[in-house]
Amino acid sequence: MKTSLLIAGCVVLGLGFGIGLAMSQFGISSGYDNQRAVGTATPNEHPPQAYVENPTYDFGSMEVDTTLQHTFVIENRGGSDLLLRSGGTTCKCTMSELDEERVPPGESTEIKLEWKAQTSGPRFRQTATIITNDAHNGEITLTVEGDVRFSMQAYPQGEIVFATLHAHEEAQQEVDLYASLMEGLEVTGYTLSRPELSEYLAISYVPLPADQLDPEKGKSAVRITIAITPEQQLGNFRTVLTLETNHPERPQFDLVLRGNVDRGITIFGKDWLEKYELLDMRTVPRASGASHELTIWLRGPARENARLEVVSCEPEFVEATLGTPEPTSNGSAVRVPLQIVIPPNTEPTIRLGNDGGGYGNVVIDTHDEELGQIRIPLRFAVK
Amino acid sequence: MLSDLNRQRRLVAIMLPLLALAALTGCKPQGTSSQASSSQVIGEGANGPGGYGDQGASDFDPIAVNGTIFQDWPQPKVAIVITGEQHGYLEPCGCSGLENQKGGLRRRHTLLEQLREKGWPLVALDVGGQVRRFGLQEEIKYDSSIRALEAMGYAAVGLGPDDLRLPPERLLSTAANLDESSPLRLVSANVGLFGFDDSLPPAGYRVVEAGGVRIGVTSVLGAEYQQRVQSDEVELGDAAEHIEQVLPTLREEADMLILLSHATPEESRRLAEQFPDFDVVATAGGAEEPPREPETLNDGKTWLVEMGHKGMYAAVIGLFNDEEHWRRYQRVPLDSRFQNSEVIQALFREYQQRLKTEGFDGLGLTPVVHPRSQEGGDPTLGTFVGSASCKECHPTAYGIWSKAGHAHATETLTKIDPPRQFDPECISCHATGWNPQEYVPYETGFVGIEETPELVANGCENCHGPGKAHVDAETAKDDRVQMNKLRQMMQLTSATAEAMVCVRCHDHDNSPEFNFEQYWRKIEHHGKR
Repeated sequence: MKTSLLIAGCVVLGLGFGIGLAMSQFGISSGYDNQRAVGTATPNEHPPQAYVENPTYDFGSMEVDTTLQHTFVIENRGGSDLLLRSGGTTCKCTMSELDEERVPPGESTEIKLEWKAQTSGPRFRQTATIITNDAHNGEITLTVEGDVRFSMQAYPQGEIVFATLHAHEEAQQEVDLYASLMEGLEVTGYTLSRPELSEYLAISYVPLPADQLDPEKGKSAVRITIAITPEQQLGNFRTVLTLETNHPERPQFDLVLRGNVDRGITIFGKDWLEKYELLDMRTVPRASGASHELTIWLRGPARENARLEVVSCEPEFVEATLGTPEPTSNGSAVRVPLQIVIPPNTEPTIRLGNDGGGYGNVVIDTHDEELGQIRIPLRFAVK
Repeated sequence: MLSDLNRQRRLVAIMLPLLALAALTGCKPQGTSSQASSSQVIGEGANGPGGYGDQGASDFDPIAVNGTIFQDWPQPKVAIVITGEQHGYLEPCGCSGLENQKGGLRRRHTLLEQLREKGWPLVALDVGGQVRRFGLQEEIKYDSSIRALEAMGYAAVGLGPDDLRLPPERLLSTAANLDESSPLRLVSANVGLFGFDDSLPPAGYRVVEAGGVRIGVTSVLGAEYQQRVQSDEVELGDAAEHIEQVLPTLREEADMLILLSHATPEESRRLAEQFPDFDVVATAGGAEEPPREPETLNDGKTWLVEMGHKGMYAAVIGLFNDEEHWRRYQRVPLDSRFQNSEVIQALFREYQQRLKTEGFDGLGLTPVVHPRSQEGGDPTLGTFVGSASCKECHPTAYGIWSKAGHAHATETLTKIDPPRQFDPECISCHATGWNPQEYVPYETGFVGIEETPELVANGCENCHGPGKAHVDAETAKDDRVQMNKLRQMMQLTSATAEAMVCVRCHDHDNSPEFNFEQYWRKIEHHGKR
């Protein structure tokens, strides 16, 4: 009997210990021990009760870099002292000092949140956490939110990107530069951080007519048109377009222009290693051989100008077959299937790179002088 | 006596395993082995793989600051984890004091693994927005992000405007190279890469099953964000029209419908109200910090959930066999309660290796002319010479600098795992002669530790400006007027430094604790001393 009781006691003790351990340590499933957080509170019949009438405050619209603050009031509507301490704030918001405050029943305390409008997007929300000894409200989250307005802003926002440019083909983008509070915004000139790019770029600017203005964005605006007719050698480029304005606070406004000029031929498919520009066929079993499907994408002028033909395969046992060119549904590209085969019963061969016999190769001619040939290195070992 | 002793020993022998067993049982209220790993999370900080040396041990308590999670959650029949708007932040936003910053794919993977280990059937979805800039580094980053999401078991990933400003063939290439067994699909109802084509990614919708629940997912790019995608090769359609096209199939095939809406919250709200079939609409475009609770629409049927920015939070929606509480919401701050995942760390190493392989030239980082050269019309005004050139005339200032953190800025990057000195986003503040906010080198700026050893570290010229013209004039000593003019040009007042210079690197993301007065005291130097 004694033994049974002892065993049962151990089970209960162990369970209790285990659950306690779990509750105190689990990052995911445990509750926060608010008793531990604010000091030792003894159970009583009239517990503290934390109350905040409006835990969220909307600053509305703020100018960037300005600072606003709001004072929240936390009341103790319970029957014993309410203990408060700071649980921290999200990283861009500051809270008034709160080491550990005791709020007697029926009284209240003030907590001030301050926010400097510096944010990556137009909308902001910042919070502060207050830890309490109220068993039903152990964490109070105070929130300030609102919208940040910039004295000047370009729409669309962010970098001006010409993602896919082709030599000799003009591309154009428009950006509206808004002044949030000023009437009569004007652009008076511009400079490029890479002046040599002016050879390819044409920048123009006209005031945006009143009927096209979006009043939510600002009181006046200028439409900037950026046209580019690149050459192949421009490659991947970036320049800062600095606009001179008549805005007293922002006499200059920077727009980053980026783009990439490529020859309009891209290969992809399973096992095409883009970063090394080679087809990794790995180990090819001699008995079965191997077959890989790639797609050659022709974009820009290459759609019209390229006429693909396999001109050589090395080693000779490699077979490369081009399929029928097929335009994409919006006509922006033509895709050409390419099947590369190592036939069954090929003699063991190693083509693993410099130290392994070099790579194999498939060469495709485009029959276009500017586009030249397409070389497809093959890495494989027939075993 | 001997018999009693043996009996006591037998009792101890019985009791100890029971005690241990019971304790272990108590440790695992959910009945899985995962709790062992969960229990190691709290208070360990982020000094796992990839941790920075400066974060060290601290008394930072992420749970006290960011709150508890999954409190009172029983085992759900399925948990849906939704993320988005990573904006290029593979790691917690910024590089300093990571312990008190949120986000990062390594922590996100740990969260998902912990939930899986608890036996929760999971569906992971992403609204899109892996990158925020353009260029080869962003293409590599997009590829690495998708591979990380694949490793985490994501089922559907939407497309954000900056993702779609990358060359579309790169997105297709990334999708084509996913593992054959990968569950991940790019999904969008109204985006077509090279036109709408069922044979190409993205898929218009996806239905996945977990915990016996069929979850239908589609994704759209909103009208305002579409303006940012100016490419003839990406076809965009009206969000509502394209939702209408996929909705009948989703209704038929799924029990629960989710819309991943890469749109402003206002547009997402309109779509949610127009299509009340969706139980959850996850939206981009809100504030950095998402609300703690979802917004309810359509008389409570639909939850509108914000993603926040920079991947700092994950939204988790649990479904339960409980009529009263049939679903719950948890905003999960990805803070240092979650250790770094070694799986994702391995991908980070690969990412850094790819950047190293490309080199700054290969990444298309053409050095730019320093503004002083441009303004002054003299190339030497924008030419960097390195901090050692300052030492002879400014020994005291040099001595202070050499003992401070700035002098070890490049070295810091070489000592972390993986090393980051080939990453333009890191080196731009950790070497001399780069534009720190644009991640591009100036002409004559740092190229590499071996190529330009004199420009290692965050040197004097990053704050005072390129020094060649000044050094040349002081060496020649033949033009007093020019000497004085150049001396003035190199002078930097503390007011200017505070307002315009320090913050180029010590910004909110990378130096959230920055306080000019405190930091200045560590490097305080004056005039020619």
